[in-house]
Amino acid sequence: MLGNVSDAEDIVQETYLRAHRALVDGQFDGRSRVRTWLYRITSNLAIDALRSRKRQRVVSDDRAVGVSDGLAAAEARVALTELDDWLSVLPAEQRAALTLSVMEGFPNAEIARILGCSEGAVEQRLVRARTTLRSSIRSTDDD
Amino acid sequence: MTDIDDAIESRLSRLAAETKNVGPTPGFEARVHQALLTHQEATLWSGILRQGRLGIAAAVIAAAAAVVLAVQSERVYDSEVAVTYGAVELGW
Repeated sequence: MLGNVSDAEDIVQETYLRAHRALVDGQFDGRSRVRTWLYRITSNLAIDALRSRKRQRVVSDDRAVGVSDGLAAAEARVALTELDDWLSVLPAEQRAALTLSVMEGFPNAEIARILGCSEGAVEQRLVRARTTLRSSIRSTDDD
Repeated sequence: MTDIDDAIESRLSRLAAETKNVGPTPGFEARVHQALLTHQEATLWSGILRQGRLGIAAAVIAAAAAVVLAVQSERVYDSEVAVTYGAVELGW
């Protein structure tokens, strides 16, 4: 979702800390599955990070990829950079919905639970995301 | 579906496959574990401090109650001694 392993690691670490705090304080009510709950914390943090990144307009050069094989790491690094650059045209909520759908393979109902919105809103975000990507491809072709 | 739609879907699928094996950098788990331990310690200390503050408050309230009780007891004792003394005097 963030296109950057370093940022993703920060978000995952913060997710574990928040989850730990919530469990200690008894804030996890058990209404959703633990996996959905953890994805919800992660997604919210990632959306906040994407918004703040857009505000700051900071481009990080640190795109380290944690795969052991050198060749695979290089390929993954290129793919991550390409993905990050391509999806940077999307608003954070649309990017989150598209990533959860295409990259993680979640059904819309699960994405709705993770993002705390209706299934209709998820479908709308996915359609809008694809429309924006279509426009970006057209404008790239025109250039 | 148009060619552009096909292109978008195939590019998304390709990028999903190529980034599938991306994992954390070496030492990430240890860093998270350390962060959790530090957080747990901080939570423990803040819990102890919170309990300590509650204990001090309870002790202050108990001390104040004890002082009030002692003063009241002293007053009752004094008045009873005075009555006894008066009674003895009357007896004389």
